[in-house]
Amino acid sequence: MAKPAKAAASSAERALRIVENSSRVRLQDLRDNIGARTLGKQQSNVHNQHGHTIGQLQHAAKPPLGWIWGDFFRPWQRMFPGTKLFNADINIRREYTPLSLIELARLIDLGWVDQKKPIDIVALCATRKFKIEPHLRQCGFDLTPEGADAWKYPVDIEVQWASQRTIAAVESAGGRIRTAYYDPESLRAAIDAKTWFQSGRPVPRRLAPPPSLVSYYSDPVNRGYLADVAEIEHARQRLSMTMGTTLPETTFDAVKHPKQVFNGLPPGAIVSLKDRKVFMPTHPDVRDYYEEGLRADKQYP
Amino acid sequence: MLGRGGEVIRLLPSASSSTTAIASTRGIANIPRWERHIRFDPAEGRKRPCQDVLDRFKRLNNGMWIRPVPGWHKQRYQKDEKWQTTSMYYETSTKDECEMLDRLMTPYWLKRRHYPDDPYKTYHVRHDLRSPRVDEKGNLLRERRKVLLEDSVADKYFHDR
Repeated sequence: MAKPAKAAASSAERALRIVENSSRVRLQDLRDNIGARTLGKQQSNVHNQHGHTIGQLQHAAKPPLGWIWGDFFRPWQRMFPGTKLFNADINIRREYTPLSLIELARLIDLGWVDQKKPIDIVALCATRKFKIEPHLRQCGFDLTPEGADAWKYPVDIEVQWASQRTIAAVESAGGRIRTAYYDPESLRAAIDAKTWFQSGRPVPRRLAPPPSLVSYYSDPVNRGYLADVAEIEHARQRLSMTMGTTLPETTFDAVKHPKQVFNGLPPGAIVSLKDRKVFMPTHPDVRDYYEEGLRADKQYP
Repeated sequence: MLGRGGEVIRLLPSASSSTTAIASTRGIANIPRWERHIRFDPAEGRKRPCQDVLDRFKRLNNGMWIRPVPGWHKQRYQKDEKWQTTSMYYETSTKDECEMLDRLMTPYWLKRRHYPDDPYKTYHVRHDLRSPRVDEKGNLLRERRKVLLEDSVADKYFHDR
């Protein structure tokens, strides 16, 4: 047996010597010894009832959702026949935000909308009074005729849907109304122009209406933006005769081009709000893309 | 009556088929697994609407659910004249049933929707109701919120309450 080199003078010195001879402290050394702590066995929730037992009813199958009375395990709503007319085409139906003429008059009166300028979806959404969600197939505004009798503003307005009473009310007051289609992408730019410009994306080109809406937007009776100007004038005279109203002489600027989203901004322009500048594409391919003819929106029928 | 293959088919249900229809009640073991719990869509992360309800019912903008008459297309030839007309009507649901159907839906299906040329346009409005116009959060329940209009002005132009 090897004797220690020096006899320890004190217990403290002996402890110091042990620490000097031992290896460095590692994370492994700080762990508990095996068996130092024990965990209780985790019971399943069924058996962990503090001495109480569970009855058969709590384990039994519950009635399905919608059960009212009678056959305990048969939902009530399945007693009725299905109907395709109800919700079958909800995924292709187009929804329009209703805007009545009395509400529009209120917006003009309180200065939210300028009646001297053309009123379109950009001007209406800039009031932040409406919420349009293109991803839920909401396609714009439906101008409804509530307040048509009190309407007296000679405005130049462009909406996405309008009834004959609305059209008659707007035109007898000396205004001009057009119905125009905005595809979801242009709609996204139109309802929040500031965010669109700040994101650095170019102004999209508006697409032509899908096949199911071409007949509506090329019909002069609906004042569609694809209809012939002479035919619209003819339809305007016919409607005033039908409604018994007089048409005042009016002059308006040229309507927005079918490919344009914003008044005065051609498609393909990039707007810098900070520099207050508009940049146009110079590459011939990009320019051709934005200058080619109308393309139909084929996302939904 | 002639079937598709030209053979004579019976139009009256046989006794066995009617008994199977009655015996189709489900015991505890017969409940399909997809009905024993509220189903959640893992992609969407929330519950899925009950497709049975969407196939059979329609929710009007005022919160009323309508449904067709049960059996309206079954053996119409042997039912009387009164049935021929009244079975084509839609029936309304009671308040309790409407509340239950609302709970089977997701918020998407409880929203008011405006479609131009809606065939149900006149039925989206109910007049002279005593029940509250708003829910606990102050949202209008049966009518749409008018932009910048007070009730006194809106009542002159709108007839939706």
